[in-house]
Amino acid sequence: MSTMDKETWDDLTLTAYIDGELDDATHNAVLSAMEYDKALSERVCRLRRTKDWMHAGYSSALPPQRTLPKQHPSARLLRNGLAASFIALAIGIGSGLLGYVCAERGATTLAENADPNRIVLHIDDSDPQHFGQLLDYTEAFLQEHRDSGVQVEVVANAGGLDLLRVDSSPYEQRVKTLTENYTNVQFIACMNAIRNLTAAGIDATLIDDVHTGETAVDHIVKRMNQGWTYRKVDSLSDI
Amino acid sequence: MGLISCINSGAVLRRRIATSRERLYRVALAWCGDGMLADDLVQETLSLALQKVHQLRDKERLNAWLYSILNNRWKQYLRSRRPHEDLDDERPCEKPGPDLMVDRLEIVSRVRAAVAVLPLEQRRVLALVDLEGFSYNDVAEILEIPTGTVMSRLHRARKGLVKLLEPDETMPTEVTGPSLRRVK
Repeated sequence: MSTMDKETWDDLTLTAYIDGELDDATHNAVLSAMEYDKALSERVCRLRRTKDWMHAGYSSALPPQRTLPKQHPSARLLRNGLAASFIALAIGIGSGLLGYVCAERGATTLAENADPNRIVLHIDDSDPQHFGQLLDYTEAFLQEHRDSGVQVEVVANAGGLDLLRVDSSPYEQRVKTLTENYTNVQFIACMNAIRNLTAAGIDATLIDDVHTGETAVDHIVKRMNQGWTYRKVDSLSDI
Repeated sequence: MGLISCINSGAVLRRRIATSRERLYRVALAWCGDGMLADDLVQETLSLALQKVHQLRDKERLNAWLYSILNNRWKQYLRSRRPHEDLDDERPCEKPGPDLMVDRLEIVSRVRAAVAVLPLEQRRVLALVDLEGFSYNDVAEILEIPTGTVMSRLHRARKGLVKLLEPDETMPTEVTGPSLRRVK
């Protein structure tokens, strides 16, 4: 007979044995005791069966197909400056990380309770298809909310600046027409992007009525802090 | 942590949250016994987790954290349904129906019916340990109860399940020894 008397194996200990919650010495002692104590083995087996039952009962249960809930990051993210850092990084290196962050969130509004009537649209790539999407969306939004006091700003940096440069824009006339027809839309070119082009010897002359003077990051962060809704061009097809 | 690492880490966490739906659902189903309710609880859990993920300090605790949220949503639901009921009440939620004992249903149905008969707090512990393999300490943290309570509820749940699923067999005589002092 082992020094461990079988009466000492209370059910709580055996339950812990089944779950691997005993220390090594006690675990081994139970294991040894089971070799000569059939009743003990039966108790352990009986208790262990519940694991098998639970798996049999629920492992096949599958939830209905549902989309992931939309995420609404707290305003604290903005207040503590993290959002500004993300945007600065994304815009600064022109890598589209801001868009990546937004896409991950499944929503492009970074500020909680952002005003849907004040939208800052951001483009940072030179894809002509994106230019078209952006202008289509801008025009449709302005038309649809003509009498609602909406405000739209289109902010371009990195490759997106091509939309607003005389030398490169495939939509120069359309940009002009929009600014002429709507007083509540503004096109804004990133000051840093202009400076970089100029430094590289590229003509950065902007289409008439396009504004500049601020970096894209400063402007977007300012607007978001003012409660504007932020949307990146990649997300516009979701509308 | 650099900004890029920070962004990547956040993306990884969100992906892990998104892929937790099925596991959360199974536990929620074991707790509440209602597929639609379980689905709603999980959806609320995921929504809240995505909103609050930046508050999670120890990323390794994501799994336990998700079940803590699920537990809180479940408790809120119960309070709204039965505001005067003591959630720690150990009485069975309902009497086992005679059909449970006499019908030989397939194992899935029988197990779910038996689990539904267990007291609510026992179900909660049983699902976390036997379905998800959480340690006693993790369960204690998730449910905000002492580890000893986890153990006693788990033991009672298992005994109850055996009694319900093997009604013709009795558990071998329980030995009542000194209180357990040998867990990790």
